[in-house]
Amino acid sequence: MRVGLFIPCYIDQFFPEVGIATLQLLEKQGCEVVFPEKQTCCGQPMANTGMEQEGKKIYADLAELFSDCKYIVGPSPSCVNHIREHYDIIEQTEAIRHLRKNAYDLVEFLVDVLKIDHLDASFPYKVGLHRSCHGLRGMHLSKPSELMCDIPLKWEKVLGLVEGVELAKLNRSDECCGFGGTFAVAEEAVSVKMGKDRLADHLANGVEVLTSGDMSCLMHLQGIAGRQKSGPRIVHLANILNGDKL
Amino acid sequence: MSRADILEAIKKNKPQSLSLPDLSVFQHEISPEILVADFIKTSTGNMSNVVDLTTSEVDLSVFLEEFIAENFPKATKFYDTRSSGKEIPENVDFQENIDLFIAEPKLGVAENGCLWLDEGILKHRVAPFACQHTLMVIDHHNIVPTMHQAYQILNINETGYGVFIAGPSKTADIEQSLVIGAQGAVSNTVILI
Amino acid sequence: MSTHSEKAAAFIKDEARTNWHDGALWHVREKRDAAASLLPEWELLRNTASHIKDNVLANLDDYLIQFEAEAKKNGVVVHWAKDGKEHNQIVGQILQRSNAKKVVKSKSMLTEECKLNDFLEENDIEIIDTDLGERIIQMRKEEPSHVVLPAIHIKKEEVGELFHKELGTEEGNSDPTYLTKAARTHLRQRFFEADAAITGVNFGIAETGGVVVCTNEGNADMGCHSAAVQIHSMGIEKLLPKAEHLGVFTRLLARSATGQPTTIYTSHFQKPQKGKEMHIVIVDNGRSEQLGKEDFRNSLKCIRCGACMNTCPIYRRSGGHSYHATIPGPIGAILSPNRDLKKYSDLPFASTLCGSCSDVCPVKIDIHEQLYKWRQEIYKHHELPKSKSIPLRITGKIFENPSIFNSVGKIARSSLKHLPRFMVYNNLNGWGKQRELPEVPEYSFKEWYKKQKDE
Repeated sequence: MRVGLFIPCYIDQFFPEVGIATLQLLEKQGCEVVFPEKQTCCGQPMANTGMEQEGKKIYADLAELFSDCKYIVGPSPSCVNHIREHYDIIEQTEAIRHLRKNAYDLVEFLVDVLKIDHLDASFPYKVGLHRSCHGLRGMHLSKPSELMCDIPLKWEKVLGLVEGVELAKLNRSDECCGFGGTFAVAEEAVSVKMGKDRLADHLANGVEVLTSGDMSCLMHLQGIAGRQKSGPRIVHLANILNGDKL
Repeated sequence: MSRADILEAIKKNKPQSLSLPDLSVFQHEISPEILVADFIKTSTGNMSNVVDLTTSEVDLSVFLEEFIAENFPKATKFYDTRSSGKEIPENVDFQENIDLFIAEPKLGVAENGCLWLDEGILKHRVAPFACQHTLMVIDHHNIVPTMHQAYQILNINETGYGVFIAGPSKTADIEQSLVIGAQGAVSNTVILI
Repeated sequence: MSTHSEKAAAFIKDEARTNWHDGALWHVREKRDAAASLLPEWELLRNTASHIKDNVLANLDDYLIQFEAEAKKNGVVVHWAKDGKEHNQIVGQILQRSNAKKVVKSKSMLTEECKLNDFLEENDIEIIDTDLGERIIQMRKEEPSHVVLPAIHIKKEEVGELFHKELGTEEGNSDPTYLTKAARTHLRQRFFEADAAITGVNFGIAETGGVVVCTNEGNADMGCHSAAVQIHSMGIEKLLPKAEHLGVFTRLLARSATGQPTTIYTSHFQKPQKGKEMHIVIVDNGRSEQLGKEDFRNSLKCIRCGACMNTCPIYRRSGGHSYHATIPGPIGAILSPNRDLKKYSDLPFASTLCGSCSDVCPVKIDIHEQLYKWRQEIYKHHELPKSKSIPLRITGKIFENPSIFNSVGKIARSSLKHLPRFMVYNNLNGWGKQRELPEVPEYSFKEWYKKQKDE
């Protein structure tokens, strides 16, 4: 199965270990992983600021790079969600339609396509899961607390396959962390307050390691925890699923 | 003229029509016992005092007389809309505190404790709001599961005014603290027969 | 005028108060969840409500004509106002004709939108807001900070002080029950003295020509039934086709708003009382124009329950006044730009697009998607500040070219590693004010990938 690895811009530059874990995890599952090296970004930073028109070339280029991959998988629901939902503003070429249809978040791919029921990983910690908004409400990787219907809990399912993980119960199971792309800077005060409140919830519930499918949320929370000099360890889901040690 | 302008603008701007959805999916088959239990639960939740006489053999008029004497001992002025009550005069001064409003609502709703009163029962629309306490006698056969059934049965256009009352007046406008008796009745008693 | 982010920053300065505000509204959101979870058909109800409103918007002119005809048959006088100014003039004329000097009003966001109180006061008519929360903010000469909980931003001690000054309650007494009783006495007098009563409208019924008003306090009824003249101000979008559709909407409204199974009073006004007058003022004020905007017309489905405010993590931490608009919160942020794009161009950015607003909306307005679309409109209309557009245009150019991206990334990582701390963390850098930047890795993923592939 030929899988194109999609590594979002900020993971490439700041969190290579998340990309490495994603690659290794997919290969362990028997995927033939290719990494088109000319990729840069999904274009979300511009689009969320209102400048989606400036991202059209980026959209088209990204689609072209992955046109020969059966699936396109990246460790970021936010970016994948953007590709699916907002790549409707350019001509729907075959490459664009292929990308939008076959782009998956890593966890979603593991559960829905590979249908994994076993992982060779152990992580003996009390883990707090940050249910990031675009994965939660955009892609339904878990059930938003405000919806009154059944939705499979994909994040929880994969964490359940890791030996030793104790999933913490939070006071607010799925409140936004306040990152929000350029919101983090434009609305600095609210953004930081939201992040502080999320960290406090995890700490109050004895979380040792805070994880999420979205590294952007984690970067924000890590930034606040770092300044406060207190907070749980912060690790991307891909690293836990890949069996990486702390 | 604004009427023509507004209608013209809507005509120009409105989207393509879609048919109305089917409401028959909201039918509920519920046993009478559960209906009564639900109604008591929701009414109590709305801070009404509920007296369940559905399995009692007492004579209602005797019971009511004793109940009122016991629970509203200082009441002297009544607004009784029941046919058995005294004739209500045309002019009532609601500025003078009237202690107790009594009525037999046509219909009750189990899911939320709503009781329907309309102008056919109310001689003065303001009565259940201006009186200090309200007392409603409802036959449990007239309780329906949800608002869907209520609106199917009722003709809201039958009289000039109708109201669902679900409890005593309340507010939580000061720091979300629940206070009963904001502006309308300060208590609501439901006698279920 | 300062923007949402500036007002929010000022609000958050008092962190204890922010926590209190956030907690109070989160509690309401939890009550909403509990109420909704009791109905297995909850999501079906939301879908149905949304579809009914689709039908209403598509036939709005016909429904309004039908509504008017039925209302007239009922003996109601129907008026049409194209904007807030005309609405106020119509209300003023009704009051003048009946020589009304004292008016009571129950909660109506539409009259807030039209600034009716200011207009009437300028014309020497006394107008008293009778909803307790509205009365409090009227005494404070403020605007509501929430559509359902207008005084949610005010502490009971502040109400105690206010009532001591305005109503002569005991000094230092801030017990909510005591204060509410004092307001009851004060307002009862106003109801009985009132010459006219004004209410908003929750639902207008095309089939019957009547209007439905929902309250918990009973203040709309106290006013309407006591006064000789009753006036209902209704936005054109408030119509429902038939009485049976009230079943769907009354089930959703209070559960979404406060988690109650119903409002205590759901009043159906059809005809005037014997010997009295009933008027309905139908108001457009920008709505018909909004109807023409395909991406944004869904916002006209709004039933003003406030659920999107209670769930919004930004609203809860920035307060309703930070939105500097009549309707605050997520729904306000998509309604306001329709009215004045320039003035409200900051509001669609007061969101992380987390999407919770859309999930709680009882009529399924795609609020967060509309926020995204308003951002595109704002850029198109050159209302995006240059401090945002210039850096992002450069970023976009970098992303378009992989080799530039790689080298810029390398330089950035290297400078972050080697620059002195004060150059990275200063007041000009919004990220670094209260946050650390990520630790800089030795290599990018691409560099690692190339290296291990070569080996």
